[in-house]
Amino acid sequence: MRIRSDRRRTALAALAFALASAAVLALSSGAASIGPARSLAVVLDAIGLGSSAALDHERAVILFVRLPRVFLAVLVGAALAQSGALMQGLFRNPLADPSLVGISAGATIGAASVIVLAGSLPFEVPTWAERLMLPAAAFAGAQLSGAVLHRLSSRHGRTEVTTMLLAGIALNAMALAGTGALTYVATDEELRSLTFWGMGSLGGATWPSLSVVAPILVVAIGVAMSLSRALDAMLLGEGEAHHLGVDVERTKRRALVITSLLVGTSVAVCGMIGFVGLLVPHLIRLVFGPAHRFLLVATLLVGPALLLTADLIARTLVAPAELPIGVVTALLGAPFFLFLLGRRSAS
Amino acid sequence: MTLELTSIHLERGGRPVLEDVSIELPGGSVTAIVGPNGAGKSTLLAVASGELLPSRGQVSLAGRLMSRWAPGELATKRAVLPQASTLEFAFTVDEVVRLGRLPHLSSKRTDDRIARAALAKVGLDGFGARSYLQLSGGERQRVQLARVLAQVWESSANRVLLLDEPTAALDLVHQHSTLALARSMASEGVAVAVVLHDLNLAAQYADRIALMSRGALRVVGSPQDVLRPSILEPVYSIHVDVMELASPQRRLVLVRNPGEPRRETHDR
Repeated sequence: MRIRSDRRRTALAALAFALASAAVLALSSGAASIGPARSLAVVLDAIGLGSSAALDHERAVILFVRLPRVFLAVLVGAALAQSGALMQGLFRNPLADPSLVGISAGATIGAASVIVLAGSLPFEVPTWAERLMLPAAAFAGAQLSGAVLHRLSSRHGRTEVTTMLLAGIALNAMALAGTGALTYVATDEELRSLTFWGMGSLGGATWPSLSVVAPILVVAIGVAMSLSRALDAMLLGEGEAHHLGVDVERTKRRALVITSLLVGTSVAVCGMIGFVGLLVPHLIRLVFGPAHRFLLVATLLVGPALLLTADLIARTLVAPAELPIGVVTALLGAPFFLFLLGRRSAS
Repeated sequence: MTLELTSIHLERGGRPVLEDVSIELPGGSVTAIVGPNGAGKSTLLAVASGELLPSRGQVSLAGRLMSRWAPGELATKRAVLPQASTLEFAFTVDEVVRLGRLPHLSSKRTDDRIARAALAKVGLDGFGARSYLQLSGGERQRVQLARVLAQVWESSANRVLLLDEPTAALDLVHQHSTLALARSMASEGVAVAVVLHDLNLAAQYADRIALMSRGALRVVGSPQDVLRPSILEPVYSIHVDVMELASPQRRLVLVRNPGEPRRETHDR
């Protein structure tokens, strides 16, 4: 059921429409019932297009609660989905996913350390620095575990899948142990933060936090796009890519740094949300094939749509309580991963 | 001289893998690289391609050191067919072949035309829309060959084609059609080097045979010169009979006594 390449533009338009619909749906659902048209009018009014008759509290809910959350879902969905595509290209294996192989775990340790240990620093840390410290530490953790993973599982330009997945288990276990140890020294408030980190939530979305992560993610995504041809060649093998004139080492370095940036920033702002990087690129490849020029664009539409939907499920299924979004994506993603493993061993 | 390797030494893990290898690959001829497993054939090919840097010695293409070539420019002149490929993604056959056009700045229409022509050359006409992963091992190998052909399709000077055991996964017919293709590339002026295990295929298609053992080049010469019991027996540690065919004039190597099997080591 591959879609012919000349239909791809139409497909992208359809995906964009689906994403827009999901965004409007997310904007209008929740505890306060505000219709889709009314919600959209509030947003348009706020940016100076048209006017809206919405009440003040409705305006506040839309503009300061739901809209930042939608933006965060879009950014993080795009980042996680694209980081999966990059990892899979880098490791030349469709099973590589940041949450499975321990990149997200590394980011989690980084973030958790900042949450717990920043309070016990001998000097006062200004708020803006604390805002930056979190993504920076998460990035460092992701980068470190990514480098370890790559060093271990890549031999002579080939990826040993078993080693990669086993190393992922070890890295995940270390992260679990690390955050576990941190819970002992954490205060009650920090503890709540840690639990929230482990399961993931978009509940922390505010305009100030968006203003920190949005530029990082947008730049990282932009650089990722420039790697598409090199990544296509890398899928043939590192030697083959080299023969095709690709600077393999530079491509690998960039892909790893961008993946760490995307994952680290996402983890810093909304905790560990697994399986998006596995599910989304797989679904896209199934229909459109593995060429990165299309894949890396399509992940930016499908990832956000998936995360918006998952978030919608997370906050409406057990309303007024809220499920951690990581639970929802894991419920979707883990069986899918098992299915992929089964198909792999069958062939 | 198109591709020139001079006094190549290469060490890996403190062990010499290539020792003082010098060989020239002139445009317009096919050089077969033969020798027992572990002789360093694939390593030599990797050095020739610029993928591996020798510990000592020089590689130059068209009189210019390999290190002086920009990777992108080099890729328009030199293509390499690896021993086995590990593509795990469901590209179509067409997409795989078009990856060979990556170093070129030609139009999409040109690339499509070349990809189609390259597929036709390897006998996979009409396979373009098939999924690469659903092909047999031999078909995959031919798709990779088409990709490599597409990479050095344009008739520019100083083209080099390096083939690492291109016949390994192929049946009898396609072994011969692949090597015939290598010959026809050579007749267009391409310098072709091909790692082979079958000495009789080498005798039939190569202008020159380079015999390697234990990281060293034992002898380079015409099939007539190299395929002699006195040369082959010490290298392979077996007894061989060499027959002279009259028409077409060619040598045929037959193993008389397999003797003790040699210890297997990997080529790379």
